[in-house]
Amino acid sequence: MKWLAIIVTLFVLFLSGCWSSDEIDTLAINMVVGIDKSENGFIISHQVINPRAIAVGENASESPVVLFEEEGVDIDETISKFVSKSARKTFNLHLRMVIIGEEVAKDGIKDIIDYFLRNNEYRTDFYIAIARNTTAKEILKILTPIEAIPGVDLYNSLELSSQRLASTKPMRIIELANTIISEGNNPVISGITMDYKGDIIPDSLEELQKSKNIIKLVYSGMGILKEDKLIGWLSDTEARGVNYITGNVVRSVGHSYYKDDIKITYEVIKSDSKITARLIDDKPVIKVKINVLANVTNVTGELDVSDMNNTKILSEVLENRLRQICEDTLSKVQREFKTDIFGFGDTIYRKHPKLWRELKSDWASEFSKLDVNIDIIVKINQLGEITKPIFMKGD
Amino acid sequence: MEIKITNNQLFSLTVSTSIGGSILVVSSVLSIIAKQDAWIVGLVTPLIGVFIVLLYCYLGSKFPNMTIVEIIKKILGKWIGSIVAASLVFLSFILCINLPWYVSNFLTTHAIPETPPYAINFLFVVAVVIAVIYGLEAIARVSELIFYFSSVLFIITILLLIPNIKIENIQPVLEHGIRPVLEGSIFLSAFITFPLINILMVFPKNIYDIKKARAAIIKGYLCSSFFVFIFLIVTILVLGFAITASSQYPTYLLGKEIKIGRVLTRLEFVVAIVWFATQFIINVFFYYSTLIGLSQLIGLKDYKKIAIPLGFIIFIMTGVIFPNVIYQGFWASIVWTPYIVTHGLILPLVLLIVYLIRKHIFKNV
Repeated sequence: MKWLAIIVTLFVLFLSGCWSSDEIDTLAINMVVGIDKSENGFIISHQVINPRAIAVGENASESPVVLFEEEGVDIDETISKFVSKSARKTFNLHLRMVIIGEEVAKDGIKDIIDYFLRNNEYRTDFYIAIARNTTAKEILKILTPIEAIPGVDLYNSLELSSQRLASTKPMRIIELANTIISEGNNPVISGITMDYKGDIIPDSLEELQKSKNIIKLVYSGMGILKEDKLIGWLSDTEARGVNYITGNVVRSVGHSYYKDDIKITYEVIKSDSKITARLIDDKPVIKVKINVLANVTNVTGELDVSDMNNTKILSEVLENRLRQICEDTLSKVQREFKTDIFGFGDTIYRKHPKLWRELKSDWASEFSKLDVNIDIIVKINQLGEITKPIFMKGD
Repeated sequence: MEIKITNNQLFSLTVSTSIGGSILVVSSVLSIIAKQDAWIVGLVTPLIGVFIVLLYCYLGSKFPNMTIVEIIKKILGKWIGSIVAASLVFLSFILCINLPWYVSNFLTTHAIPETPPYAINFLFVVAVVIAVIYGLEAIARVSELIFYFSSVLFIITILLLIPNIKIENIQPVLEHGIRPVLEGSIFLSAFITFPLINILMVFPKNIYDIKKARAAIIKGYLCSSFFVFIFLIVTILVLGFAITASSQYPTYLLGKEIKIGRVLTRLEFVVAIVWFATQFIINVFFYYSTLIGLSQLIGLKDYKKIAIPLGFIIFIMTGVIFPNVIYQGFWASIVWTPYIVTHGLILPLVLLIVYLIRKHIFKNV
């Protein structure tokens, strides 16, 4: 017993923790992975933190991140080749974003998802976006002005825009894989692009010192995937429509007109949707019921919004506007893309599994003919800090 | 004098034995079998299982001051009894080899892939051997401690996962009928019900009061099946059955999904710790049973004398028991169920029948 204790103590001394331990000064922390298509296979880019530039107390004269690029036939093989370029081992547990090039997305992303789910160096909490009209490499090159590390900027901006504007959808890998597997649902992934309002591409710190004319990264639209292949894009407003229908809206803003000259701006503060499937004459009919709670944030024109009688007008105006957004989106998706991104197929499957077995083989064409009723109920909550429009001519 | 353990300790030993290896692994195979209805399996299994556990208790209570090895020898006679008992002891021995393999496989899959499995197995097996040398009393106390510790972490994990739940993931309920659910419940019983035959190593020999102890065992069994049910339903609700089915350790993936604000993330190792703790205590308990069983078979007075030599055998075997993960998957889903059903269901039934015949017809037990 005593000898055993001594031997074990010795082992503890010599084994000193984990075999596969990595000290922090041997790691290159990878924030964003970009995947582009090349003639032979893939171009993978890594956005790696430059530890010297972000260290506390150091004068930041170097770029906070460094871009590494490698070309190869296979993803994992290509990523493994990074060690020949960097003195440090890539560390992926802090990965924030995976940016997929548009061309890659058009070819299908199944193998990419399999790679990220299988490899133990990745967690599942990063978001996925598609580089729209550009390549992932170009996106990763850009430095961001306020947040020093572009990967963090991209991550936070995606979360914020989905919570405040509802024009994006932060897609994590588990949900993405589930929607691809599901027969009655298809994924949407937000697009990321550069806004070409500026003319300087900020890929070094000197350019970043200017406050205007620099190109910024912006989320734009939503890519529609048929299973795992990108087939088209929705605009920001249509993306909002998708989020309203699928119940992903936390907050959003918009405006609408009443009698052409009165403009009402509203802020949606709460929204949920309920999708139900019914059978009418043995045909499935989808009913989408959306409940919205909104504040009025701006009124221009002659409408006393504080008047009880006008509350109904207000909510009707809003209802019409939201219905229009949703119906436009729906008809575009049904006619142009013929791809069920709303999960209506899944709704039918959950309610009528037997019917679904007949429908699912030809769901794409069934979906384009599907009867969908959208029902929107808006409740007005607050009018802001003033009641009547302040410049309204009183009687 | 015999060492006696309290009912509370028996309760926690039952929970550990029953929950043991299953919690991290079963949801994957169950969602292959029963798809989105895997959680119903967790509800159905204890309904049947409770009778099997009652059967174990009945057998045990007829032979106070005996372990299952002695009971088998007594009922089936010296020669046949010894062979059957040896087979049962060998089953616990195989389990003692399996469990460290799972631990090292888990760690090398998820955390430290470059570490040789033997390095992890060594520390684990040494801890198990030392624990067994300290004796049953220490084992029972540790199992009590670990039960409280893991329950708290378990509840916290589940509460933190509530925001990720999607109710659509379990619908439609019973799409493929009740058949896959029943198939799944046989599989789940192989992990949470049948291994409980091992509790007969301490019940009723090391127990104060048989009636109260029986209640403790039943409570322990129901408690562990409740835990397994909760884990199953949360796994399916959060991950969906397709992802659960194709991942090796779905519960760990579940831990990765926890994300509340910016602070409460990266908690996957909390899940792993709970699992290590239960894995350790079940391994200690099965090793204790192996040693007691073996020493009773070969007529040793002190089981502690063979604890270290057998420990070396286990340590070496952990590296060769499964050549790779694919074979382990095959073993867990195809081989294990009939193997444990033979020992956990057929054996006690045969014992019961032979016992009743000998008691009422030949009147020689």
